[in-house]
Amino acid sequence: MAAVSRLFPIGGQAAGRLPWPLDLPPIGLVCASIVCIVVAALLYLTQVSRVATSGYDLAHLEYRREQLKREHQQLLFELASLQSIGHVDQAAARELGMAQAHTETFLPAATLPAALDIEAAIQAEEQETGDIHPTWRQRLGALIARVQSKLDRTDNAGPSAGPARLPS
Amino acid sequence: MVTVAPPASHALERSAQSLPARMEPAALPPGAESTATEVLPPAAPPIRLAVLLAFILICVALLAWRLFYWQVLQHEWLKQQASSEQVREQVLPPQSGVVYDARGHILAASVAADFVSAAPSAVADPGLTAERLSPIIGVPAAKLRAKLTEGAESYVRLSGKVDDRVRRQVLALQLPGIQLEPTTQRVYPEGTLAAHLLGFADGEGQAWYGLEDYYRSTITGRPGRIRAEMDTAGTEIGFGLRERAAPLDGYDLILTIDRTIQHFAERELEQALERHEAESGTIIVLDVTTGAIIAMASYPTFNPNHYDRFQAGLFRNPAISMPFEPGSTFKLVTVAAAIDLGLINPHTTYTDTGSVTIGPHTIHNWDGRSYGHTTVTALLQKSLNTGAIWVAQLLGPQRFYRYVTAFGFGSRTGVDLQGEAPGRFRNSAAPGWTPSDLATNSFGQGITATPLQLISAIAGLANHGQRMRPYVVQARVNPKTEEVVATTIPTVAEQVVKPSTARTMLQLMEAVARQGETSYAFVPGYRVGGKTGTASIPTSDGYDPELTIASYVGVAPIDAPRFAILVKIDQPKSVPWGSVVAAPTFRNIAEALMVYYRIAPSDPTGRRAAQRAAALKRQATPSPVPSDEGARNDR
Repeated sequence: MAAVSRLFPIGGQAAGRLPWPLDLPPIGLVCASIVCIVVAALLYLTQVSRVATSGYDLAHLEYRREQLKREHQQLLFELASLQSIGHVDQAAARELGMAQAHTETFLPAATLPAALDIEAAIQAEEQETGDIHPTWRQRLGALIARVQSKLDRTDNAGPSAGPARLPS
Repeated sequence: MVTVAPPASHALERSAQSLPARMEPAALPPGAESTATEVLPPAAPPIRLAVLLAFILICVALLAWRLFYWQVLQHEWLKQQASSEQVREQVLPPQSGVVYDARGHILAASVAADFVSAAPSAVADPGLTAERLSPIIGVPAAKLRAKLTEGAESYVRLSGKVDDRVRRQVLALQLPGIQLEPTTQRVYPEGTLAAHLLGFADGEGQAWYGLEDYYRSTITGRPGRIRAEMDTAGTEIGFGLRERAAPLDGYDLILTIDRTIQHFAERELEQALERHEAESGTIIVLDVTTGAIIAMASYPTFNPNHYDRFQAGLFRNPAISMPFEPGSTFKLVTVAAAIDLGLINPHTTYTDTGSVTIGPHTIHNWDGRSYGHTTVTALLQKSLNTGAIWVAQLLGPQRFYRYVTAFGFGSRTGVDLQGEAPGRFRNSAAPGWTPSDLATNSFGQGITATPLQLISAIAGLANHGQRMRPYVVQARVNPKTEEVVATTIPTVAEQVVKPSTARTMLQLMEAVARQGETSYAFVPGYRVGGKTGTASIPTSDGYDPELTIASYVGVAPIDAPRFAILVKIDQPKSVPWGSVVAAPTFRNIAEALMVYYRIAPSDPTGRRAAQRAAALKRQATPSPVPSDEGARNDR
């Protein structure tokens, strides 16, 4: 004990020194120092471990971000491909049965059998069939039949000379 | 009774004796007897101890030397070795820019891809590995096996770039020694659309032709690099050394091309080629007020996604790289020059004799006929070679070639596309020039121009005489900030003719397009103007009598010019004439443009067109020889 006291000459024996609030005995100081060192070491190890773990997390997140960017690019490309004119053209023909529109050919009005009196045609149809409330389908069918017969007669007789009305 | 043993020379013995001698006497109880001499081993001979000590000292000295050697003398080298293992430097590839059309549709982009490679020394079973990989990456198993067994030990590439689907399949196999190298791949979602204009990037990312090559550095960006400490698994150590120079991503490009018009032009071109059994062709649609190229189609074409399946000759853009003799379309240039100098006007007359003899050469009209007293309007309507020669002779060679140069012939237009050819002609100062050159040049023979040069010159007539520099990129955008970093400002290349001359030329072009109301270029409801061309193809023995290049250059609508359109069909088999082969395609495109851009018809009833046609008919002098070639007003 004397030897320790000689090695650590602090404490109450120090003559002429003011008392220290933590006036621990020498063995207490040694233990406290050891505890401090151990705690510091543990803290250091914990932080290093956390940093290492964070590094892996960071790397994983970066990898994930790259993957998502990659998928995003791929999806953008697929979207653009699906919206491309060539694809839409093919899809419209294949899946929707659409066909390319042809240039419309308009006939000069002079070659048609003048103006058609639709109301008169409908009335005539009503009189013939006796149905005074025909459906719109029947009306349209009757009208088309009459126009067709008129066109046929016009073709046989040559171009119409003037306005013609359907027989009532 | 035994006393303390005398001191010995042996160190151990001395220590064994001296310690109790120095410390224990005070601790030993009085009267206790020491038995030290009984437990101590017999003292070793001094010589053996000395040898052992010397051996230990030598060992310690050697260790100390080695320690000094490695820690001090080899410090730097060791540090470098450690750094090379721990610190890895990696190139960060930049993200290439996206190319959009004028309405924001993607024409070219980059997606992630992978190379499949192997470390043959780590491959457990090359045969099995080859068989399992072969159907996925599309490389024959025998070839893969040979690479794995006969190639390098550390690294061998097994495939070209593979897409995400293949990548997932390869990863699922979990084959030892097989790895994926990330890279990027340029893709073109629209396939063949505007392929010549875009160009392509090869498997190594090298840009070729077109826009990709011209804007290579802008699109590609600049690679960055990262230098960081890695652990044994190759994972970056957090908060370790980390130096990062971020890559500079490429800019996105917004083009002037409209994919709808481009698609329409390409479809019309294909149909025209099929209809007339032609080999190739080109269509260009130009905005006359800015010089912006709205469509640039050429056929045959290629798919930039699979460029390796096509012949290299197809990659050149015929619209800018392949000059041709423009033929009669060039008469517009000749006449415009003379009108601009006040030498002629649309009503000026001359006597057409049907042929002109210059030196040993006699040049005839395309149909061999003579038209007698003829106006300049009729000259263009009937496309008379002799009339063009007469105008060129009025101009004289110096003034003629000055205008030809001003119209942009013989020099590149400056379009932002790779591989533009300048075309060429021989002016009066060039060695070997003869007066017959002036005569043939006046109607577009003996002078070559690219399709873009030709339509650019004609567009100048439709833009108050100002020839604009053609361009395809209207803006560059930073992809991260979506900020427009640069916008192309339309540039006047040259004021070619006076605005009044340009107006007169438009009237003449309309007169040509409306001739007889049966013209194939006539667009109902709209006023359009243009000129046909049927150029012979030069060979080593002169001009080929059978083969022609049928073309049409036109402007629509003529009352407020907005578009200049060129249609060029190479070597049509059905009919050789530009009026029959190219003009209908011009009409279809002009009509589509009017509808697409919602341009109201200026003459919906056709009444004014009829009045103008009658007026133009009165202006043109009746030809002495009746012409029944109304539609074939060519050459």
